Amino acid sequence: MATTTPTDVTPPVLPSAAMARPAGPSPMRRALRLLRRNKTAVAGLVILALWLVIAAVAPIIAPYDPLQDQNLKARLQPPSAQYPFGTDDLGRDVFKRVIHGARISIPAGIIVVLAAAAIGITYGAVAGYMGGWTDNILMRLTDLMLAFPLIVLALAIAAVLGPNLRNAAIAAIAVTWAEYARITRGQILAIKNQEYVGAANAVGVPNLRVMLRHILPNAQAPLLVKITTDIGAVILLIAGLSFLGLGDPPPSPEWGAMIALARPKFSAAWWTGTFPGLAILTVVMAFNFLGDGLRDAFDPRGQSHQ
Amino acid sequence: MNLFSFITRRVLVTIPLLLGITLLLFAISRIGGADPIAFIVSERAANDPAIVAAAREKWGLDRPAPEQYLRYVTNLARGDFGLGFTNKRPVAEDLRQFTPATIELAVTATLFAILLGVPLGVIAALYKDRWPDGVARFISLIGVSMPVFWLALVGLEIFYARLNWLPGVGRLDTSMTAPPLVTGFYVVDGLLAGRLDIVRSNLSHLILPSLVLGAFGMGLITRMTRSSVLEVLQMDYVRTARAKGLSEWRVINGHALRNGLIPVVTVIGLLFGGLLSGAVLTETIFAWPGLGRYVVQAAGIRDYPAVMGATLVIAVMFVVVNLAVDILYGVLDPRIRA
Repeated sequence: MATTTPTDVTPPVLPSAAMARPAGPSPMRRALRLLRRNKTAVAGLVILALWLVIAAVAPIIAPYDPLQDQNLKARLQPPSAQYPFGTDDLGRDVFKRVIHGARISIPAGIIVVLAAAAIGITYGAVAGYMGGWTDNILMRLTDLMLAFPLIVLALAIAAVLGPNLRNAAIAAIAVTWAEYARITRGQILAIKNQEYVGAANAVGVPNLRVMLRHILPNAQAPLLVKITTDIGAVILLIAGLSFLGLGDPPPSPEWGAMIALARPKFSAAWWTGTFPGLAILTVVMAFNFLGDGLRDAFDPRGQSHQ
Repeated sequence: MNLFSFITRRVLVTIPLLLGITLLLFAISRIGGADPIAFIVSERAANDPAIVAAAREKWGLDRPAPEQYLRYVTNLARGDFGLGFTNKRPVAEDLRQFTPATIELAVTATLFAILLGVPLGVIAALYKDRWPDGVARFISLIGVSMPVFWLALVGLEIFYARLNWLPGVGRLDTSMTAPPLVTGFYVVDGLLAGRLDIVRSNLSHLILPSLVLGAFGMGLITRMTRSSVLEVLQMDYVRTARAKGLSEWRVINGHALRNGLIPVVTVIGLLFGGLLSGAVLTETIFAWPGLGRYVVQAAGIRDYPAVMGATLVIAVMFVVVNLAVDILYGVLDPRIRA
């Protein structure tokens, strides 16, 4: 097969109009319409939008300085009108900390998954398109990555790299990319021998261009579903690592770290740990709702499988 | 392909995978910037080059990386996981001690996940798009969205501290001592020792952590069961069964469930990985003396031999369970063997 030229590198964004179909709306547009009718997905979108707004306006509605915000005279106050989520053992406003935590967990989850997806999709695309022994070797490495339970490998990596949010994110990327490689490769193998790919090759379109313009857009439905649900899973993973002391150190308002801090006094001051936990739960649920809705919407059989 | 060669091939494929796991773990332990020597010798001795050099030689840290890896693998093959940096005990002994507690918890959590997840999934499929389906899907989504460490804390607070319906942390009541060690599983060892009180205490201590740990698996199994049963319900043979006048109960029980549940078997392998991951967090909160808590404690003090040993055992358990699931699937569905 022809060699690829570097000038062909265009980012594999999810182009909705890349696959011009002669009849009917594009699969993407049809999916969007179905998505709007899916109550679960709409609920997910609404919760998510709320959280994104909260994260965006947090510094405006709750100016917050982790060092100066302590008020030792108001330690461990239960929820009240003044402190809707109560205060922690340093007299910090739990409500403020929770909404500032959204500025850590949500972007971290999104960045990690996008990075992992970019790595995995490229990797899987290369493996699937090349085939042969390249494919064989590349895929053995993904088998290896998938042979570990996620948090265990992430824990080992984070422990070796040292405890902070950046390293927790690196560990999360390291354990997440492999499934994207596997899905992308599977999709490419399924599509590689279709006539339109052969046709594109025949008229002299370079390999990489065929891959980016014709193959990847076809793989976008399962990948998009996976990206959505994975953001939730990664938020859980990073919160778990932080809870274990392998994420951001205090006084960071990272949700997992807040729960770790609240743990010794949970009986006496339930609010210090309950609200960050509810924050994680609602955000992750929103991503799962949305992912579920996308899965239903993309399912060509129109059935709600899975 | 016949069953025997199918199984042989699956087992053989696992061997390079296991070697790869050791190589990856070795590589991870190398990429860390920190010098393990700092955790071996005391701070004062670290200023003495002679002591440091002697320690390097003793721990083989002065050898080139490939040689270190070879030594690591041959030692592993002999069951030697090295000495923990901190407690200076053989890691293998620690692992033997802590593994049964993790398996015990993983098994009961899996049971809870299946016992709750399969019926929920079946109900959801049978009442598709009606309210029982909505409720079942909602519960399963909560299950897979729940931060397990938070659920553990809240569960302990409610069912132990407030209501006192269930015991608190640990594998046994604090007044009890462990039964004489035979298998390491307290239920078995308790029965062997004729100590029913130990068995009872152990089982009651298992309820809360198993439910917490099983919540994720329950969600996963519910979704899988639902979609699988829905798929089967559209099959021609189900329509035939209905058409020939079988009662709805016979159709579902005799045709839909039996075939619909086969794919659910595969999700158990996936589930087990989730369980082992969850065990890391659950064990930490429930002071459950298993591999998860061990690896967390070791990670906190960067005790590499302990972290790598426990990670290896957890990964091997995961691989073995997936192998078993693969084989079981091949037995249940001969088409897979092709």
